[in-house]
Amino acid sequence: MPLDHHLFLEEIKMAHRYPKPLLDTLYCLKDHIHWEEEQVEDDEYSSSTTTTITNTNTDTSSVVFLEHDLFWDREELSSLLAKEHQNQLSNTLQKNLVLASSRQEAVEWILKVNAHYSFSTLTAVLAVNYLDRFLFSFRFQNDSNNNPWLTQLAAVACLSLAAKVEETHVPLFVDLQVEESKYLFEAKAVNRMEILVLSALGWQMNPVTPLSFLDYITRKLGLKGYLCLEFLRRCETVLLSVFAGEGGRMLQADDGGCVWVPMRRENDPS
Amino acid sequence: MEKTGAGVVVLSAKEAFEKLEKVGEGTYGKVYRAREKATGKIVALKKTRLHEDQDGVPPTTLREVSILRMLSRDPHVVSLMDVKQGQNKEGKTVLYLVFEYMDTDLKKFIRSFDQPGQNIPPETIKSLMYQLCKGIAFCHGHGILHRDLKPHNLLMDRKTMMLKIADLGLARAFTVPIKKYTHEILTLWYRAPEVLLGATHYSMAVDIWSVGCIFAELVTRRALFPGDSELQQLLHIFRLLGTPNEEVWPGVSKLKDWHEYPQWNSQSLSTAVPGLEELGLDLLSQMLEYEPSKRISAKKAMEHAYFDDLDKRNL
Repeated sequence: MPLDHHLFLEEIKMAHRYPKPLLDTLYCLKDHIHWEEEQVEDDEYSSSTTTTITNTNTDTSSVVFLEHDLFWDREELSSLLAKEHQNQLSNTLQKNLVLASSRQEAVEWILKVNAHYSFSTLTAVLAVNYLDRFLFSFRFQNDSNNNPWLTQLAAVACLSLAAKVEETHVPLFVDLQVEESKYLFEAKAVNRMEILVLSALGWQMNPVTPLSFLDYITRKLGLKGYLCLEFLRRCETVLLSVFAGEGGRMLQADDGGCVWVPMRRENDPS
Repeated sequence: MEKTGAGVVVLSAKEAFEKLEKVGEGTYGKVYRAREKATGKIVALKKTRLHEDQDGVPPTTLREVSILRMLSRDPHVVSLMDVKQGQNKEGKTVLYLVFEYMDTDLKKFIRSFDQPGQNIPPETIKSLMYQLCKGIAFCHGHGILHRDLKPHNLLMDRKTMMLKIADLGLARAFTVPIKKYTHEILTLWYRAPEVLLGATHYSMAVDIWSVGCIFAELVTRRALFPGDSELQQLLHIFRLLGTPNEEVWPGVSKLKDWHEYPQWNSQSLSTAVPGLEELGLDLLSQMLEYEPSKRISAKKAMEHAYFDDLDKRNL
Protein backbone atom coordinates (compact mmCIF):
# COMPACT_ATOMS: atom_id res chain seq x y z
CA MET A 1 0.00 0.00 0.00
CA PRO A 2 2.72 2.56 0.86
CA LEU A 3 4.37 1.76 -2.46
CA ASP A 4 1.22 2.56 -4.43
CA HIS A 5 0.83 5.78 -2.51
CA HIS A 6 4.33 7.01 -3.30
CA LEU A 7 4.04 6.06 -6.94
CA PHE A 8 0.82 8.04 -7.14
CA LEU A 9 2.50 11.12 -5.69
CA GLU A 10 5.35 10.78 -8.15
CA GLU A 11 2.83 10.48 -10.94
CA ILE A 12 1.28 13.82 -10.01
CA LYS A 13 4.65 15.53 -9.83
CA MET A 14 5.68 14.19 -13.17
CA ALA A 15 2.44 15.17 -14.90
CA HIS A 16 3.93 18.62 -15.46
CA ARG A 17 7.18 17.33 -16.86
CA TYR A 18 6.54 14.37 -19.12
CA PRO A 19 4.29 13.63 -22.09
CA LYS A 20 1.20 11.48 -21.60
CA PRO A 21 2.59 8.27 -23.14
CA LEU A 22 5.18 8.29 -20.39
CA LEU A 23 2.47 8.70 -17.77
CA ASP A 24 0.62 5.77 -19.29
CA THR A 25 3.74 3.72 -18.84
CA LEU A 26 4.11 4.91 -15.27
CA TYR A 27 0.48 4.09 -14.58
CA CYS A 28 1.17 0.57 -15.76
CA LEU A 29 4.00 0.36 -13.26
CA LYS A 30 1.45 0.78 -10.48
CA ASP A 31 -0.76 -1.93 -11.95
CA HIS A 32 2.34 -4.01 -12.36
CA ILE A 33 2.41 -4.73 -8.65
CA HIS A 34 -0.80 -6.70 -9.18
CA TRP A 35 0.22 -8.03 -12.57
CA GLU A 36 -1.02 -11.56 -12.08
CA GLU A 37 -4.55 -10.38 -11.39
CA GLU A 38 -4.83 -7.70 -14.06
CA GLN A 39 -3.02 -9.16 -17.03
CA VAL A 40 -5.65 -8.14 -19.59
CA GLU A 41 -5.81 -4.57 -18.35
CA ASP A 42 -2.03 -4.39 -18.54
CA ASP A 43 -2.09 -5.27 -22.20
CA GLU A 44 -4.39 -2.35 -22.92
CA TYR A 45 -2.04 0.12 -21.29
CA SER A 46 1.02 -1.38 -22.96
CA SER A 47 -0.47 -0.77 -26.39
CA SER A 48 -1.00 2.90 -25.63
CA THR A 49 2.67 3.54 -25.01
CA THR A 50 3.86 5.39 -28.09
CA THR A 51 7.59 5.50 -27.53
CA THR A 52 9.36 4.53 -30.74
CA ILE A 53 12.31 2.90 -29.05
CA THR A 54 11.53 -0.32 -27.24
CA ASN A 55 13.89 -3.13 -26.45
CA THR A 56 11.68 -6.20 -26.22
CA ASN A 57 14.19 -8.80 -27.30
CA THR A 58 15.03 -10.18 -23.89
CA ASP A 59 15.17 -13.94 -24.10
CA THR A 60 13.03 -14.97 -21.15
CA SER A 61 14.29 -18.53 -21.05
CA SER A 62 17.87 -17.47 -20.50
CA VAL A 63 17.18 -15.11 -17.62
CA VAL A 64 16.53 -17.18 -14.55
CA PHE A 65 17.47 -15.27 -11.45
CA LEU A 66 19.07 -17.26 -8.72
CA GLU A 67 18.90 -16.54 -5.03
CA HIS A 68 22.46 -15.24 -5.19
CA ASP A 69 21.43 -12.70 -7.77
CA LEU A 70 18.90 -11.30 -5.35
CA PHE A 71 21.66 -10.70 -2.85
CA TRP A 72 21.81 -7.12 -1.65
CA ASP A 73 23.46 -5.20 1.12
CA ARG A 74 22.40 -2.31 3.26
CA GLU A 75 25.59 -0.51 2.19
CA GLU A 76 24.96 -1.08 -1.49
CA LEU A 77 22.57 1.82 -2.02
CA SER A 78 24.80 4.31 -0.22
CA SER A 79 27.73 2.97 -2.24
CA LEU A 80 25.83 3.63 -5.48
CA LEU A 81 24.91 7.13 -4.32
CA ALA A 82 28.49 7.93 -3.36
CA LYS A 83 29.78 6.74 -6.73
CA GLU A 84 27.09 8.70 -8.53
CA HIS A 85 28.18 11.85 -6.75
CA GLN A 86 31.63 11.45 -8.23
CA ASN A 87 30.07 11.47 -11.68
CA GLN A 88 28.15 14.72 -11.31
CA LEU A 89 27.81 16.47 -14.64
CA SER A 90 28.06 20.23 -14.88
CA ASN A 91 25.52 22.67 -16.26
CA THR A 92 27.87 23.93 -18.94
CA LEU A 93 25.95 22.25 -21.75
CA GLN A 94 22.82 24.24 -21.11
CA LYS A 95 24.73 27.45 -21.75
CA ASN A 96 26.15 26.27 -25.05
CA LEU A 97 23.27 26.07 -27.51
CA VAL A 98 25.35 24.99 -30.48
CA LEU A 99 26.81 22.10 -28.52
CA ALA A 100 23.39 21.20 -27.09
CA SER A 101 22.00 20.92 -30.60
CA SER A 102 24.74 18.66 -31.91
CA ARG A 103 24.58 16.62 -28.71
CA GLN A 104 20.87 16.02 -29.24
CA GLU A 105 21.50 14.84 -32.79
CA ALA A 106 24.25 12.56 -31.51
CA VAL A 107 22.00 11.09 -28.81
CA GLU A 108 19.24 10.42 -31.33
CA TRP A 109 21.75 8.71 -33.59
CA ILE A 110 22.99 6.53 -30.73
CA LEU A 111 19.45 5.43 -29.87
CA LYS A 112 18.68 4.54 -33.49
CA VAL A 113 21.79 2.42 -33.91
CA ASN A 114 21.17 0.83 -30.52
CA ALA A 115 17.70 -0.20 -31.67
CA HIS A 116 18.98 -1.33 -35.07
CA TYR A 117 21.38 -3.83 -33.52
CA SER A 118 19.06 -4.71 -30.60
CA PHE A 119 21.72 -3.67 -28.17
CA SER A 120 20.73 -3.59 -24.52
CA THR A 121 19.37 -0.52 -22.82
CA LEU A 122 22.53 -0.45 -20.74
CA THR A 123 24.61 -0.07 -23.90
CA ALA A 124 22.59 3.03 -24.85
CA VAL A 125 22.80 4.45 -21.35
CA LEU A 126 26.56 3.90 -21.23
CA ALA A 127 27.12 5.45 -24.66
CA VAL A 128 25.22 8.62 -23.73
CA ASN A 129 27.03 8.77 -20.39
CA TYR A 130 30.41 8.60 -22.14
CA LEU A 131 29.36 11.24 -24.67
CA ASP A 132 28.19 13.65 -21.99
CA ARG A 133 31.27 13.22 -19.85
CA PHE A 134 33.49 13.64 -22.91
CA LEU A 135 31.69 16.78 -24.06
CA PHE A 136 32.36 18.32 -20.68
CA SER A 137 36.02 17.42 -20.54
CA PHE A 138 38.32 20.42 -20.74
CA ARG A 139 39.74 20.28 -24.22
CA PHE A 140 36.74 19.20 -26.24
CA GLN A 141 34.38 22.06 -25.42
CA ASN A 142 36.40 24.67 -27.22
CA ASP A 143 36.86 22.62 -30.37
CA SER A 144 33.26 21.57 -30.85
CA ASN A 145 31.97 25.00 -31.82
CA ASN A 146 34.16 25.05 -34.90
CA ASN A 147 33.84 21.38 -35.81
CA PRO A 148 30.30 20.00 -35.41
CA TRP A 149 31.42 16.73 -36.99
CA LEU A 150 33.53 16.09 -33.88
CA THR A 151 30.41 15.50 -31.81
CA GLN A 152 29.19 12.90 -34.29
CA LEU A 153 32.62 11.24 -34.37
CA ALA A 154 32.58 11.19 -30.57
CA ALA A 155 29.13 9.57 -30.69
CA VAL A 156 30.41 6.78 -32.94
CA ALA A 157 33.39 6.20 -30.64
CA CYS A 158 31.22 6.27 -27.51
CA LEU A 159 28.71 3.79 -28.90
CA SER A 160 31.55 1.52 -30.01
CA LEU A 161 33.12 1.66 -26.55
CA ALA A 162 29.77 1.01 -24.85
CA ALA A 163 29.15 -1.99 -27.08
CA LYS A 164 32.61 -3.35 -26.29
CA VAL A 165 31.97 -3.03 -22.57
CA GLU A 166 28.51 -4.54 -22.60
CA GLU A 167 27.70 -6.50 -25.77
CA THR A 168 28.92 -9.92 -26.83
CA HIS A 169 29.17 -9.02 -30.52
CA VAL A 170 30.40 -5.63 -31.62
CA PRO A 171 29.96 -4.53 -35.24
CA LEU A 172 32.90 -3.09 -37.14
CA PHE A 173 33.29 0.69 -37.05
CA VAL A 174 31.97 1.04 -40.59
CA ASP A 175 29.01 -1.26 -39.95
CA LEU A 176 28.20 0.65 -36.78
CA GLN A 177 27.42 3.74 -38.85
CA VAL A 178 24.18 2.34 -40.24
CA GLU A 179 21.82 5.22 -39.54
CA GLU A 180 21.61 8.33 -41.64
CA SER A 181 24.17 10.93 -40.65
CA LYS A 182 25.89 13.85 -42.33
CA TYR A 183 29.26 12.20 -41.87
CA LEU A 184 30.81 8.80 -42.40
CA PHE A 185 34.09 8.21 -40.59
CA GLU A 186 36.80 5.75 -41.52
CA ALA A 187 38.10 3.20 -39.01
CA LYS A 188 41.32 5.09 -38.37
CA ALA A 189 39.47 8.22 -37.24
CA VAL A 190 37.15 6.30 -34.91
CA ASN A 191 40.14 4.41 -33.53
CA ARG A 192 41.88 7.63 -32.58
CA MET A 193 38.70 9.12 -31.15
CA GLU A 194 38.24 6.03 -28.97
CA ILE A 195 41.64 6.63 -27.39
CA LEU A 196 40.85 10.30 -26.91
CA VAL A 197 37.53 9.51 -25.22
CA LEU A 198 39.13 6.89 -22.98
CA SER A 199 41.85 9.28 -21.87
CA ALA A 200 39.37 12.07 -21.22
CA LEU A 201 37.18 9.77 -19.12
CA GLY A 202 40.12 8.30 -17.21
CA TRP A 203 39.17 4.86 -18.56
CA GLN A 204 36.27 4.76 -16.10
CA MET A 205 33.74 3.01 -18.30
CA ASN A 206 31.50 1.36 -15.71
CA PRO A 207 29.79 4.40 -14.18
CA VAL A 208 26.76 4.30 -11.94
CA THR A 209 23.71 4.68 -14.21
CA PRO A 210 19.94 4.69 -13.65
CA LEU A 211 20.05 0.97 -14.41
CA SER A 212 22.36 0.43 -11.44
CA PHE A 213 19.56 1.64 -9.19
CA LEU A 214 16.98 -0.45 -11.03
CA ASP A 215 19.25 -3.42 -10.46
CA TYR A 216 19.28 -2.71 -6.74
CA ILE A 217 15.53 -2.10 -6.53
CA THR A 218 14.69 -5.28 -8.41
CA ARG A 219 16.73 -7.33 -6.00
CA LYS A 220 15.27 -5.51 -3.01
CA LEU A 221 11.74 -6.17 -4.22
CA GLY A 222 12.66 -9.80 -4.73
CA LEU A 223 11.04 -9.89 -8.16
CA LYS A 224 11.70 -13.07 -10.07
CA GLY A 225 10.93 -14.59 -13.41
CA TYR A 226 8.58 -12.86 -15.80
CA LEU A 227 7.51 -10.29 -13.22
CA CYS A 228 11.08 -9.08 -12.96
CA LEU A 229 11.50 -8.90 -16.72
CA GLU A 230 8.27 -6.95 -17.17
CA PHE A 231 9.25 -4.52 -14.43
CA LEU A 232 12.65 -3.94 -15.99
CA ARG A 233 11.27 -3.64 -19.51
CA ARG A 234 8.91 -0.88 -18.46
CA CYS A 235 11.56 0.97 -16.49
CA GLU A 236 13.89 0.79 -19.47
CA THR A 237 11.13 2.13 -21.72
CA VAL A 238 10.68 5.06 -19.38
CA LEU A 239 14.39 5.81 -19.37
CA LEU A 240 14.69 5.64 -23.14
CA SER A 241 11.67 7.93 -23.43
CA VAL A 242 13.45 10.48 -21.26
CA PHE A 243 16.41 10.28 -23.61
CA ALA A 244 14.31 10.61 -26.72
CA GLY A 245 11.89 13.21 -25.44
CA GLU A 246 14.28 15.66 -23.82
CA GLY A 247 17.50 15.53 -25.73
CA GLY A 248 18.81 18.61 -24.04
CA ARG A 249 18.45 17.25 -20.56
CA MET A 250 21.26 15.50 -18.76
CA LEU A 251 20.36 11.99 -17.73
CA GLN A 252 21.11 11.54 -14.07
CA ALA A 253 21.23 8.19 -12.37
CA ASP A 254 18.18 8.99 -10.28
CA ASP A 255 16.04 9.36 -13.37
CA GLY A 256 15.17 5.89 -12.23
CA GLY A 257 13.71 7.79 -9.30
CA CYS A 258 10.01 7.36 -10.05
CA VAL A 259 10.66 3.83 -8.92
CA TRP A 260 13.63 4.54 -6.70
CA VAL A 261 12.29 7.35 -4.52
CA PRO A 262 9.57 5.22 -2.91
CA MET A 263 12.14 2.66 -1.91
CA ARG A 264 14.38 5.28 -0.39
CA ARG A 265 11.47 6.68 1.57
CA GLU A 266 10.68 3.25 2.88
CA ASN A 267 14.25 2.94 4.07
CA ASP A 268 14.27 6.29 5.85
CA PRO A 269 14.13 5.95 9.64
CA SER A 270 11.68 8.85 9.96
CA MET B 1 47.09 8.87 -16.89
CA GLU B 2 47.41 11.41 -19.64
CA LYS B 3 46.65 14.85 -18.22
CA THR B 4 43.98 16.98 -19.81
CA GLY B 5 45.58 20.32 -18.92
CA ALA B 6 46.76 22.35 -21.89
CA GLY B 7 50.49 22.56 -22.37
CA VAL B 8 51.47 19.79 -19.97
CA VAL B 9 54.27 17.69 -21.41
CA VAL B 10 53.73 13.99 -20.83
CA LEU B 11 56.60 11.57 -21.17
CA SER B 12 55.96 8.76 -23.60
CA ALA B 13 56.00 5.24 -22.25
CA LYS B 14 59.40 4.60 -23.78
CA GLU B 15 60.96 7.61 -22.13
CA ALA B 16 59.31 7.00 -18.76
CA PHE B 17 60.31 3.34 -18.31
CA GLU B 18 63.32 1.14 -18.80
CA LYS B 19 62.32 -2.39 -19.83
CA LEU B 20 64.26 -4.96 -17.85
CA GLU B 21 62.94 -8.30 -19.10
CA LYS B 22 59.93 -9.93 -20.67
CA VAL B 23 58.06 -11.92 -18.04
CA GLY B 24 54.98 -13.11 -19.89
CA GLU B 25 52.89 -13.20 -23.00
CA GLY B 26 49.11 -12.89 -23.16
CA THR B 27 46.38 -12.87 -25.77
CA TYR B 28 46.91 -9.27 -26.76
CA GLY B 29 50.57 -8.70 -26.00
CA LYS B 30 53.60 -9.00 -23.82
CA VAL B 31 54.26 -8.29 -20.17
CA TYR B 32 57.56 -6.74 -19.09
CA ARG B 33 59.28 -6.11 -15.80
CA ALA B 34 60.39 -2.49 -15.98
CA ARG B 35 61.78 0.36 -13.91
CA GLU B 36 60.15 3.77 -13.80
CA LYS B 37 63.02 6.16 -14.47
CA ALA B 38 61.67 9.04 -12.42
CA THR B 39 61.19 7.04 -9.22
CA GLY B 40 63.24 3.86 -9.66
CA LYS B 41 60.11 1.86 -8.88
CA ILE B 42 59.79 -1.61 -10.38
CA VAL B 43 56.52 -2.12 -12.30
CA ALA B 44 54.91 -4.57 -14.69
CA LEU B 45 54.13 -3.19 -18.14
CA LYS B 46 51.40 -4.92 -20.07
CA LYS B 47 51.65 -3.95 -23.70
CA THR B 48 48.68 -3.92 -26.07
CA ARG B 49 49.15 -3.01 -29.69
CA LEU B 50 46.28 -1.20 -31.38
CA HIS B 51 45.73 -1.91 -35.05
CA GLU B 52 44.64 1.39 -36.51
CA ASP B 53 43.15 -0.24 -39.55
CA GLN B 54 41.07 -2.51 -37.35
CA ASP B 55 38.49 -1.71 -34.76
CA GLY B 56 40.26 0.07 -31.99
CA VAL B 57 40.71 -0.82 -28.36
CA PRO B 58 40.13 -4.54 -27.73
CA PRO B 59 37.12 -5.25 -25.49
CA THR B 60 39.26 -7.26 -23.07
CA THR B 61 41.64 -4.34 -22.53
CA LEU B 62 38.76 -1.91 -22.18
CA ARG B 63 36.96 -4.06 -19.63
CA GLU B 64 40.09 -4.84 -17.68
CA VAL B 65 41.16 -1.22 -17.31
CA SER B 66 37.70 0.07 -16.50
CA ILE B 67 37.09 -2.62 -13.93
CA LEU B 68 40.51 -2.17 -12.34
CA ARG B 69 39.79 1.54 -12.09
CA MET B 70 36.79 0.58 -9.96
CA LEU B 71 38.56 -2.01 -7.85
CA SER B 72 42.07 -0.75 -7.22
CA ARG B 73 41.30 0.28 -3.65
CA ASP B 74 41.32 -3.32 -2.46
CA PRO B 75 44.69 -4.71 -1.29
CA HIS B 76 43.83 -8.09 -2.84
CA VAL B 77 43.26 -6.83 -6.38
CA VAL B 78 46.32 -5.96 -8.42
CA SER B 79 46.84 -2.21 -8.63
CA LEU B 80 46.72 -0.50 -12.03
CA MET B 81 48.90 2.55 -11.62
CA ASP B 82 48.60 4.19 -15.01
CA VAL B 83 47.68 3.78 -18.66
CA LYS B 84 50.11 5.23 -21.17
CA GLN B 85 49.90 5.57 -24.90
CA GLY B 86 53.01 5.27 -26.99
CA GLN B 87 54.35 4.19 -30.34
CA ASN B 88 56.43 1.18 -31.25
CA LYS B 89 59.37 1.04 -33.67
CA GLU B 90 57.07 0.95 -36.67
CA GLY B 91 55.17 3.99 -35.47
CA LYS B 92 52.08 2.01 -34.49
CA THR B 93 50.05 3.06 -31.46
CA VAL B 94 50.66 0.95 -28.36
CA LEU B 95 48.96 1.02 -24.99
CA TYR B 96 50.93 0.27 -21.84
CA LEU B 97 49.10 -0.72 -18.69
CA VAL B 98 51.34 0.03 -15.71
CA PHE B 99 50.83 -2.40 -12.82
CA GLU B 100 52.47 -2.84 -9.47
CA TYR B 101 55.03 -5.62 -9.85
CA MET B 102 54.45 -8.94 -8.10
CA ASP B 103 57.32 -11.39 -8.25
CA THR B 104 55.41 -14.63 -8.66
CA ASP B 105 52.00 -16.19 -9.14
CA LEU B 106 50.17 -18.98 -7.36
CA LYS B 107 50.87 -21.47 -10.15
CA LYS B 108 54.64 -21.01 -9.80
CA PHE B 109 54.32 -21.01 -6.02
CA ILE B 110 52.51 -24.36 -5.99
CA ARG B 111 55.03 -25.85 -8.41
CA SER B 112 57.92 -24.72 -6.22
CA PHE B 113 56.86 -27.39 -3.69
CA ASP B 114 58.02 -30.14 -5.99
CA GLN B 115 59.65 -32.70 -3.70
CA PRO B 116 57.65 -35.81 -2.79
CA GLY B 117 55.93 -35.25 0.52
CA GLN B 118 56.70 -31.55 0.48
CA ASN B 119 53.40 -29.77 1.04
CA ILE B 120 52.43 -26.14 1.40
CA PRO B 121 52.14 -25.42 5.15
CA PRO B 122 48.50 -25.48 6.33
CA GLU B 123 48.73 -21.98 7.80
CA THR B 124 50.00 -20.65 4.46
CA ILE B 125 47.11 -22.30 2.64
CA LYS B 126 44.67 -20.78 5.10
CA SER B 127 46.13 -17.30 4.71
CA LEU B 128 46.15 -17.45 0.92
CA MET B 129 42.59 -18.77 0.83
CA TYR B 130 41.37 -16.03 3.14
CA GLN B 131 42.98 -13.36 0.96
CA LEU B 132 41.44 -14.92 -2.14
CA CYS B 133 37.96 -14.98 -0.59
CA LYS B 134 38.40 -11.40 0.57
CA GLY B 135 39.48 -10.19 -2.87
CA ILE B 136 36.61 -12.01 -4.57
CA ALA B 137 34.12 -10.70 -2.00
CA PHE B 138 35.33 -7.20 -2.86
CA CYS B 139 34.89 -7.82 -6.61
CA HIS B 140 31.43 -9.30 -6.15
CA GLY B 141 30.46 -6.50 -3.79
CA HIS B 142 31.23 -4.10 -6.63
CA GLY B 143 29.23 -6.07 -9.16
CA ILE B 144 32.24 -7.63 -10.89
CA LEU B 145 32.54 -11.27 -11.94
CA HIS B 146 36.09 -12.40 -12.63
CA ARG B 147 35.17 -15.48 -14.68
CA ASP B 148 38.73 -16.71 -15.20
CA LEU B 149 40.12 -17.46 -11.76
CA LYS B 150 43.05 -19.86 -11.84
CA PRO B 151 46.40 -20.05 -10.06
CA HIS B 152 48.19 -18.28 -12.92
CA ASN B 153 45.94 -15.21 -12.48
CA LEU B 154 46.63 -14.89 -8.76
CA LEU B 155 49.79 -12.88 -8.21
CA MET B 156 51.89 -13.23 -5.09
CA ASP B 157 54.68 -11.49 -3.27
CA ARG B 158 57.03 -14.19 -1.99
CA LYS B 159 58.30 -12.18 0.97
CA THR B 160 55.01 -10.97 2.38
CA MET B 161 52.85 -13.88 1.16
CA MET B 162 50.32 -11.34 -0.08
CA LEU B 163 48.01 -12.56 -2.82
CA LYS B 164 46.35 -10.37 -5.45
CA ILE B 165 43.74 -11.08 -8.09
CA ALA B 166 44.85 -10.15 -11.59
CA ASP B 167 44.01 -10.55 -15.26
CA LEU B 168 40.50 -9.16 -15.35
CA GLY B 169 40.29 -9.14 -19.14
CA LEU B 170 37.35 -11.53 -19.03
CA ALA B 171 35.76 -9.90 -16.01
CA ARG B 172 32.36 -8.32 -16.39
CA ALA B 173 30.23 -5.88 -14.51
CA PHE B 174 26.96 -7.69 -13.97
CA THR B 175 23.59 -5.98 -13.97
CA VAL B 176 20.09 -7.28 -14.57
CA PRO B 177 18.84 -8.43 -16.99
CA ILE B 178 21.95 -10.33 -17.94
CA LYS B 179 22.21 -11.02 -21.63
CA LYS B 180 23.61 -14.20 -23.04
CA TYR B 181 27.37 -14.11 -23.14
CA THR B 182 29.46 -15.75 -25.79
CA HIS B 183 30.85 -19.09 -24.83
CA GLU B 184 34.29 -17.61 -24.46
CA ILE B 185 37.28 -19.86 -24.00
CA LEU B 186 37.97 -20.21 -20.31
CA THR B 187 40.42 -22.52 -18.61
CA LEU B 188 38.55 -25.80 -18.34
CA TRP B 189 39.89 -27.06 -15.03
CA TYR B 190 38.34 -24.27 -12.96
CA ARG B 191 35.07 -23.97 -14.88
CA ALA B 192 31.79 -24.36 -13.02
CA PRO B 193 29.50 -27.24 -14.04
CA GLU B 194 26.62 -24.94 -14.95
CA VAL B 195 28.87 -23.21 -17.48
CA LEU B 196 30.02 -26.57 -18.87
CA LEU B 197 26.36 -27.58 -19.23
CA GLY B 198 25.62 -24.53 -21.35
CA ALA B 199 24.15 -22.06 -18.89
CA THR B 200 24.71 -18.60 -20.33
CA HIS B 201 23.57 -16.89 -17.17
CA TYR B 202 26.72 -16.27 -15.17
CA SER B 203 26.34 -15.59 -11.50
CA MET B 204 28.82 -14.93 -8.74
CA ALA B 205 28.78 -18.66 -8.05
CA VAL B 206 30.96 -19.41 -11.10
CA ASP B 207 33.87 -17.67 -9.38
CA ILE B 208 33.27 -19.55 -6.14
CA TRP B 209 33.54 -22.87 -7.95
CA SER B 210 36.94 -21.77 -9.27
CA VAL B 211 37.98 -20.75 -5.76
CA GLY B 212 37.07 -24.23 -4.52
CA CYS B 213 39.18 -25.88 -7.23
CA ILE B 214 42.11 -23.65 -6.31
CA PHE B 215 41.64 -24.50 -2.61
CA ALA B 216 41.95 -28.22 -3.32
CA GLU B 217 44.97 -27.63 -5.54
CA LEU B 218 46.77 -25.74 -2.76
CA VAL B 219 46.39 -28.79 -0.54
CA THR B 220 47.30 -31.53 -3.03
CA ARG B 221 49.50 -29.52 -5.45
CA ARG B 222 47.55 -31.08 -8.35
CA ALA B 223 44.51 -29.84 -10.21
CA LEU B 224 41.32 -31.26 -8.73
CA PHE B 225 39.50 -31.69 -12.07
CA PRO B 226 42.09 -31.79 -14.90
CA GLY B 227 39.84 -32.38 -17.92
CA ASP B 228 41.10 -32.00 -21.47
CA SER B 229 37.70 -31.49 -23.09
CA GLU B 230 34.37 -30.16 -21.89
CA LEU B 231 32.94 -33.65 -21.67
CA GLN B 232 35.99 -34.98 -19.83
CA GLN B 233 35.81 -32.01 -17.48
CA LEU B 234 32.22 -32.88 -16.59
CA LEU B 235 33.05 -36.55 -16.13
CA HIS B 236 35.92 -35.67 -13.79
CA ILE B 237 33.50 -33.65 -11.69
CA PHE B 238 30.74 -36.27 -11.74
CA ARG B 239 33.12 -39.08 -10.72
CA LEU B 240 33.96 -37.26 -7.51
CA LEU B 241 30.76 -35.41 -6.64
CA GLY B 242 28.33 -37.91 -8.17
CA THR B 243 26.34 -37.44 -11.36
CA PRO B 244 23.85 -34.65 -10.62
CA ASN B 245 20.10 -35.17 -10.94
CA GLU B 246 16.97 -33.10 -10.41
CA GLU B 247 16.97 -34.03 -6.75
CA VAL B 248 20.39 -32.58 -5.85
CA TRP B 249 20.29 -29.84 -8.52
CA PRO B 250 16.78 -28.77 -9.54
CA GLY B 251 16.76 -27.66 -13.18
CA VAL B 252 19.99 -29.38 -14.19
CA SER B 253 18.39 -31.60 -16.83
CA LYS B 254 16.95 -28.55 -18.60
CA LEU B 255 20.34 -26.95 -19.20
CA LYS B 256 21.15 -26.62 -22.88
CA ASP B 257 24.05 -29.09 -23.05
CA TRP B 258 22.65 -31.66 -20.68
CA HIS B 259 22.35 -35.24 -21.89
CA GLU B 260 22.64 -38.74 -20.43
CA TYR B 261 25.82 -39.39 -18.46
CA PRO B 262 27.24 -42.42 -16.67
CA GLN B 263 25.76 -42.56 -13.18
CA TRP B 264 28.30 -42.20 -10.41
CA ASN B 265 27.73 -41.97 -6.70
CA SER B 266 29.49 -39.17 -4.87
CA GLN B 267 32.80 -39.88 -3.15
CA SER B 268 34.02 -38.32 0.04
CA LEU B 269 36.01 -35.14 -0.61
CA SER B 270 38.63 -36.37 1.82
CA THR B 271 39.65 -39.07 -0.68
CA ALA B 272 40.44 -36.42 -3.30
CA VAL B 273 41.91 -33.87 -0.90
CA PRO B 274 43.74 -35.90 1.76
CA GLY B 275 45.37 -33.87 4.49
CA LEU B 276 42.79 -31.08 4.64
CA GLU B 277 41.30 -30.63 8.10
CA GLU B 278 37.61 -31.27 8.72
CA LEU B 279 36.62 -27.60 8.73
CA GLY B 280 38.49 -27.06 5.47
CA LEU B 281 36.65 -29.99 3.89
CA ASP B 282 33.36 -28.48 5.01
CA LEU B 283 34.19 -25.12 3.43
CA LEU B 284 35.40 -26.83 0.26
CA SER B 285 32.18 -28.85 -0.01
CA GLN B 286 30.15 -25.64 0.18
CA MET B 287 32.26 -24.09 -2.58
CA LEU B 288 31.71 -27.15 -4.77
CA GLU B 289 27.95 -27.27 -4.25
CA TYR B 290 26.29 -28.25 -7.53
CA GLU B 291 23.34 -25.90 -7.31
CA PRO B 292 24.74 -22.40 -7.95
CA SER B 293 22.28 -20.70 -5.61
CA LYS B 294 23.38 -22.94 -2.74
CA ARG B 295 27.09 -22.43 -3.29
CA ILE B 296 28.61 -20.38 -0.47
CA SER B 297 29.29 -16.71 -1.20
CA ALA B 298 32.78 -15.25 -0.85
CA LYS B 299 31.61 -13.06 2.00
CA LYS B 300 30.13 -16.01 3.90
CA ALA B 301 33.25 -18.05 3.20
CA MET B 302 35.35 -15.45 5.01
CA GLU B 303 33.18 -16.03 8.09
CA HIS B 304 33.56 -19.82 7.97
CA ALA B 305 35.00 -21.50 11.07
CA TYR B 306 37.95 -22.80 9.00
CA PHE B 307 39.42 -19.28 9.24
CA ASP B 308 38.73 -18.80 12.95
CA ASP B 309 42.30 -19.42 14.09
CA LEU B 310 43.86 -17.31 11.32
CA ASP B 311 45.52 -14.06 12.39
CA LYS B 312 43.73 -11.63 10.06
CA ARG B 313 45.22 -8.38 11.30
CA ASN B 314 47.54 -7.90 8.32
CA LEU B 315 45.23 -9.36 5.69
